[in-house]
Amino acid sequence: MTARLRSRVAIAGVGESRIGKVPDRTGLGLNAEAAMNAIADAGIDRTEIDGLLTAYSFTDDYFMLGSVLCEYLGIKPRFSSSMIVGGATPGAMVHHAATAIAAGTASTVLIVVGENRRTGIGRDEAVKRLTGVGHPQYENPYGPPLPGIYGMVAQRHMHEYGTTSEQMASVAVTCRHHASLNENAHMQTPITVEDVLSSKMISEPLHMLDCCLISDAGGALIVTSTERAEQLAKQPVYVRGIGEKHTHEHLVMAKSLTHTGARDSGRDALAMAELTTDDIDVALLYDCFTIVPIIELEDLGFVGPGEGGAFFEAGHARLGGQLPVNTHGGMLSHAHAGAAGGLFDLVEGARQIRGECGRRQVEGTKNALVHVEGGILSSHVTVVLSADA
Amino acid sequence: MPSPRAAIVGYGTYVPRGRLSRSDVAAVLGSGTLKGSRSVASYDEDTTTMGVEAARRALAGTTPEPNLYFATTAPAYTDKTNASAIHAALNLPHEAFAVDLAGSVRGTVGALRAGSASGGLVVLADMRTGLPGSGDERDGGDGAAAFVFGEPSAAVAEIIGEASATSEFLDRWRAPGTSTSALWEERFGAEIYGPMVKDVAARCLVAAGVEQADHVVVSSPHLRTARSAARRLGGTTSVERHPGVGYTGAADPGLLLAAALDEAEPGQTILLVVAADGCDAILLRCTDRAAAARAEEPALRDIPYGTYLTWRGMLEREPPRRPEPDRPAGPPSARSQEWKFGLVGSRCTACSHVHMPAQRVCSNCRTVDEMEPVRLAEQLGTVATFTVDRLAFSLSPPVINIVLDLDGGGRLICQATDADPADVAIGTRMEMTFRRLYTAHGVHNYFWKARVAHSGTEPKDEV
Repeated sequence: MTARLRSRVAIAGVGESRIGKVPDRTGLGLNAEAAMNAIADAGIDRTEIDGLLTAYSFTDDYFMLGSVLCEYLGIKPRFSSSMIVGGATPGAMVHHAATAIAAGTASTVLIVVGENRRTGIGRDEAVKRLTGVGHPQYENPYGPPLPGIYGMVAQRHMHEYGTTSEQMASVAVTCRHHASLNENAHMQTPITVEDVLSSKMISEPLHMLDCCLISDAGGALIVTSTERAEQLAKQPVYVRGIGEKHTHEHLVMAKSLTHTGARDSGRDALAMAELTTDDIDVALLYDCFTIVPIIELEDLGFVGPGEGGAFFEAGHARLGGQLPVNTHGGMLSHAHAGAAGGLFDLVEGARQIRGECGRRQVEGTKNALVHVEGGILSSHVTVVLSADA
Repeated sequence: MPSPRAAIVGYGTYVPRGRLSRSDVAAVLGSGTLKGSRSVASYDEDTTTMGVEAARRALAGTTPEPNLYFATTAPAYTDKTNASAIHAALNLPHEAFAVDLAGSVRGTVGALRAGSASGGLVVLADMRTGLPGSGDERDGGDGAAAFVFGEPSAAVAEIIGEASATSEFLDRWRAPGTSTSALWEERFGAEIYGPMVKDVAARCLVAAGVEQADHVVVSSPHLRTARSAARRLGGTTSVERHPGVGYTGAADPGLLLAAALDEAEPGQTILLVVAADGCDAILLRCTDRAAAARAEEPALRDIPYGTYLTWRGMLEREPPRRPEPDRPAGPPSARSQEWKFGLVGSRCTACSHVHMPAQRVCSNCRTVDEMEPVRLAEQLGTVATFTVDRLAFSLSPPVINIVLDLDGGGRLICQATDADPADVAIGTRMEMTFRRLYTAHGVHNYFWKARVAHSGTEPKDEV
């Protein structure tokens, strides 16, 4: 395994752009805003960045987004790559940054993603992009759109475990409660289970409020070696464990409709970190649809199979509960803009460890577990962030 | 001396589930009161897909001579053979001949004659569409029938007499590129058809040495001719045989013949009279081989008139706020012909795992190149999960998407069709049906969907 990567690198800086409806910014502008905020947060100079990792963008549909951002940000790294593993991309980027830094390929890596998906793209085009993830000839162009695929996953989970619509709604309610304490969140007005259940049905059993937002947002991280991070202004957030698992692309090729590669990625990340689920103070779980954090809680081992829904419904995932989940509001309430969605899980994890979260701070956070996933339960990356190396 | 003619060894019919109530039409158009209904092909059906459904029932596992004759007045394509798509969907052999007899109802008689001369599969399918308020809209219907011609020793019925007459006169016509027909005054056609039917029916019986056929069925797009001829010959038309369906054009003689074959006792004769731009009569004698049991017809679905008009392009409605879909590309469609049209996957001979579409490497046991092709279109399956999608565009929203586990292996994600949301649940039994997913830039994207299977198909194992 890659245990030798344990705490070799740390997150030295985090940054967000303005989030929500930001019609005065281009997608590149959101990236730049987030990047400059992360650079300032780390207390370094832009010229010190010698590695760049970028992802993809629906709104700035560049073939080589990394080169465009080098030009736009005025940086000349010796290591650059653009990555696509869907929503799991930010986790994989941290993994690649750690590998590059451990190998000496780069010393200070800027990870930056973001799009103006809310205002930079029309509804027609957005729907086309989001329905265009399936087989080009047999599934596109009329679907099934992504909510439909996750609707089928939710339906199966309900069938196998008795998970209820109310339990799924409580995931959205939990995230919104947390977002109401986060002034940069896209949606901050509290909602109730009843609000979720009475919102428009999108793809049974998923209502509109069971689905994540579409936001303008950019996010960035500065990842550097542990030695260097310890000399910088902010408290280092150690990347103590990482695990990945990539299993399939099409839903029908998944071994299970209700359990995922998160079981393996989570196990590997915790093993590398030499921690258990009991050591985790905050969980930041990819939440494209409300069923997903329920499955992730189960697969990551925080609860048993089929117990995820009840965990949320009982309030255990709320601030003050057993395991606060998505304290920033998640993609359901904070922001979703492509790969940036999961990046904010990493940003929040770092901020919780640093104790910077104000009203939503989980006091004494030592360890935060971030899980991001991409595709149709396809690609999984678990990252364990820690205050201790 | 011609070789012995092929006989009918199998047959099947397909009438879509949709029904349009004539009273609904009358209410919308303000045209008095009308009774009964007509059959309606769904938005995802056309003559090609309905022909496939009828042919699947007719074939029922048999392998006929490799000839396919397809007759319709409403071909999905012109200047391109539609029989080749039917051939592909039925997974018939590469060496086969497949041809359209498209354009007019009389093509049906041509297809039956060709089938009986060479052996093979005869597919008859039609969609009868008229302008709103027209007789064709009111009295027409959509449906399909198919006949397998083969060895006389296996005959369900053999042809023992034929007669024809031809005359050039203007009764009905349709300019290429238009979707509805125009008609001359009805009385004119009646004057020409009347004597011709009498003459042809008499000649057919005399030639066969039969005084009176036991069953007489008459089909004609000139409905008054069909009625009066049936009365005179002691027979029936689709009005009596298929109430609620209507006159189904090129498929009508087939649906009538199939109904007569269902009823006829061994040794009895059936006279089929088709009056279309001339007249043809075919006399058949049934053997003592029992005809295959007819498939149980599923529950009907009422199609509102507005929906029907929309499906037929007669009512131009606000399009979905979606980009125009791309047309299916030729090379990948051809490359995946067996899968896309034939629903042929592969089964690993080492571990029996079924792959949809076919693969070379087993995703279960990783064995390489030990696959055998397996046609999955005739497998029943069970819904593993589903969603009712209100975001996806469809001419018949909401879309029901399912993950389907086929009996014997194979998992497919596909649409459920001919179903309301309440019809589908985890565990629902489904069967495959060949459909048109959408049409873009004149190209039809054919693939398979699933529909709720008849009762009595419960799975053996707990889901």
